[in-house]
Amino acid sequence: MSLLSERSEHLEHFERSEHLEHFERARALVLSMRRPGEGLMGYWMSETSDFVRFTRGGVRQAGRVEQRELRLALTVEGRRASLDVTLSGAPADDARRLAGALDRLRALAPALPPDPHLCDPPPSDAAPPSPLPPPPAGEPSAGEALGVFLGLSAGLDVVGILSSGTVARGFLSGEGLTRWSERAARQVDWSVVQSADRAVKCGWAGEAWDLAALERKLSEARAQLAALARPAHTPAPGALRALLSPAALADLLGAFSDWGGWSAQALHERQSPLGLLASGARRFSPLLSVYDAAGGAAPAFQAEGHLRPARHPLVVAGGWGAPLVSPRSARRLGLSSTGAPAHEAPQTLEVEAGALPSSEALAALGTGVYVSDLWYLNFSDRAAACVTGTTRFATLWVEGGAPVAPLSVMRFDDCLYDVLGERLEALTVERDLSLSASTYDRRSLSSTLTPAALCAGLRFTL
Amino acid sequence: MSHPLEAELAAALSSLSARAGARYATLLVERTSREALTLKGGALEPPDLSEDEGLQVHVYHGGGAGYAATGDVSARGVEEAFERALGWARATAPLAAWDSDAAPAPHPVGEYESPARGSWWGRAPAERLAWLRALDADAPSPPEVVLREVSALAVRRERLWLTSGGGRVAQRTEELSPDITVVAHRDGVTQRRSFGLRGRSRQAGLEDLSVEGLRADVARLVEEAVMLTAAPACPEGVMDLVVDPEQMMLQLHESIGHPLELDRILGDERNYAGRSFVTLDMFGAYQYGSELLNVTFDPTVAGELASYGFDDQGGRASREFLIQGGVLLRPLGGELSQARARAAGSAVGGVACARVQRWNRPPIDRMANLNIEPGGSSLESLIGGVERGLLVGTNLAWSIDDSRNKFQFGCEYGRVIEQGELKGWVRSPNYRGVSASFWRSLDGVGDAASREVLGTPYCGKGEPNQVITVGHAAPACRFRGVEVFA
Repeated sequence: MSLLSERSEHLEHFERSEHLEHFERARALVLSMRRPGEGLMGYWMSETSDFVRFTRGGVRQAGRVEQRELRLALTVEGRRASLDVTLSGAPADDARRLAGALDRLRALAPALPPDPHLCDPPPSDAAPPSPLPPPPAGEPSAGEALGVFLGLSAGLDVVGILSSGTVARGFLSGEGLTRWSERAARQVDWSVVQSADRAVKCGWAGEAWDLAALERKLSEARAQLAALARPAHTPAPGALRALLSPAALADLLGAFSDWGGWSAQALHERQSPLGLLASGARRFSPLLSVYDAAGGAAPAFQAEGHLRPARHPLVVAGGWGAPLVSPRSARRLGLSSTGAPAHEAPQTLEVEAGALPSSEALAALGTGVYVSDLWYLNFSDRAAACVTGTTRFATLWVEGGAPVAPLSVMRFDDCLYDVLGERLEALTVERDLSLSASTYDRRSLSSTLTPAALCAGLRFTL
Repeated sequence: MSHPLEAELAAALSSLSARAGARYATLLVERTSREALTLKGGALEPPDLSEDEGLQVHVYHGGGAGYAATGDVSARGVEEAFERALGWARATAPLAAWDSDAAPAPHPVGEYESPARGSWWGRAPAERLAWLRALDADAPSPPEVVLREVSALAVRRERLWLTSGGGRVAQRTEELSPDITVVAHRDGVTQRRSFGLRGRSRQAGLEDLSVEGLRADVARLVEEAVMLTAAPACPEGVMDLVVDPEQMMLQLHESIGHPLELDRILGDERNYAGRSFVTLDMFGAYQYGSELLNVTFDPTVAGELASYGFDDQGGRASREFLIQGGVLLRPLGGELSQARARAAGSAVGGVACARVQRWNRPPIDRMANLNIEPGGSSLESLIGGVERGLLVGTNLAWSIDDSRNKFQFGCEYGRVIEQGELKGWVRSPNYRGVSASFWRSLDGVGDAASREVLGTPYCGKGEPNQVITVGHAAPACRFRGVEVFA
């Protein structure tokens, strides 16, 4: 089946997940070190990940990362400090590290002023944590999946990363609350390059390897390459009709998520790019409704143990929904907490589906730009929700409902109240679920569920 | 500098390497302490600390290479990591994109310790808090100010890098990053003034910083943020720009630094951080900018944020010109990337820039300290040479295409220049251009007096992703005929 199938036995053993066992041991250690009068919380983040980076069809870097971190928060007489400590998994060494972490927090706490905005974790109400079930019998290893993937992509210039392993989050409190979330996470995020900056961006994620799905994705990408080989079309700057792919729409909404759009704190400090929506001065199209939904890959709880709501309205029929409020912001601003994480960003962003069948979307576009991917978004006017960025990958010029040429990389700069407001003509019936491929410090568990969006105009500038 | 388990860990690496018949193996052991203290409106936020220990093993075997990382810093941890790394080396050798048998296998010996007068870590917690409070003491608080945030981020990092052949590099750095952000709002207009992306980050101790200077910065930024809420919008059109060092940091970073990364040029980043408009055949001949443009890679600048003695693949750091007289000379590529380029038929040079963010990520080509060398013009003469234009400063927003060519930047402030004289303030200036032509419009480079040594801890790149420190020293620079808009 693959070049690797006979060599991959040694890559299998980590699937016997030990994350919960390590968490329980760290929890017991921490609670045994607790002194009278001390409040303790801990947020556990661990993962075992195989990362294989590949370029031009070959392996660039391959490795295994095992990491376990506990974010300890110590509260003494209304004073709180937190510390992220990396653990080794070896009981004696972890006891040393945890004792050192608590010593450092105890040395700092008396120097702090009382904090009027502290929140306690919720009382113990959760079911006992259960370990991850074993992987499906016969599931390929990461090495086997890699071999199959590279074999299927023979003759193609593929570049990207394969990630495979187990990701866990947990919570503990001195009052006895324990929460746990653990999942197997298989993912390939890659591009099939036609030439230079022309490529088809692809992604697949799941809890068990699905080699047939990878083959299907590669076949779809292979079929798109011919369109990218044609001479590029470079339109003059100006507004053009645009069909934003589900990924492109997720990128635009991600600009709000990343820059405090729905954050109660950012709104209070007038840093939110959605201030005008929140005040009622601007609206999006009635077609647009956006939610932060529980489920997806993200854990149901945040770092202070509070549960996220099942479905939090962010934008409802074009109007303001409700801010994301962390427990601390709730105390500071006199609001009700929504169980949001400290940075008050959505974890599982979901856009309601529209009525346009995807199969009719290019025809509805007529002549214009099919934007497969956007890149490097930032605000040219944050208060007005004006965003700039560039097109990327398989963005195409479309005439009469048919792709005719790849688009030269173009910069756009536009106000999203307009693009997703009066210029939003339709959203598609079908939506794409996309798990974040971000791995800064650790593997992300956020995701998006978005349709494609047909817009009467997107303003290109360069 | 030593690690209490060094002898045990080194012995484990050597014996494992010999037993496995590995051509080359390396071990990175890292320990990092971090402390972030933040005052918001004068009130202390809960301090944010970390204690991090871990190791990373690389094994080169049979034409393949693999790595493994673990938080278990012990002989057992080395052994388990070695076996996993060896497993990946064996498994991927038939599919490797490069031949590890032809890769450099250095065994350097050396040490580096950053300068830090008055170590943050040598002070008691109460003293550290008092130092921070002193910066914010007596800060003005006009009603327009909706956020005044004053913070300090301190990082102490120790790295021990060992090789299977007796190489040993020990490096210890202390970073200190004071930061100020002020947001003001009046009549529907919100404006921000700050140090820009923690731009004052340095390898430093408390005595390297001036409390009086930082306190004055707080007052200045409050005043400027409030003033900008009443300032007119930036004028639009094609005009000359004088760019201050805080914005030059981003201009240099995005449109010279990233395009010159050799791994990007080789194609490694095409799925994530992007490719480059620069190609291997350009080195030695391509006119990147005007003849006034001189850019160095220099991890030897004392106190600059990304200084070191060796990179994380054992390359010895040295100062090198990347661009001289506007001509592109060499890329930002470590020894492995250089070997890969040679294998592809291009004998380009390089620099010691293979770096890891942390023990849990493998080395890739990074910027470290990337500096624009000072020219001969005073700031006054740069401004004096503009008939109609703007002085712009402090980055607010940044965006550049995946070939690092078409860019757009927003700045926190602008000052109108008319007939060579600095006039009134304008808010939120934006400008855009194309890297390949923008640097050729450079017609004035500030002297040493206008140069500032800055840096930021926020450079992101790589799969898996890594965010890393970079240093950027730059003088004010003047560019002709730039498209500016509000």
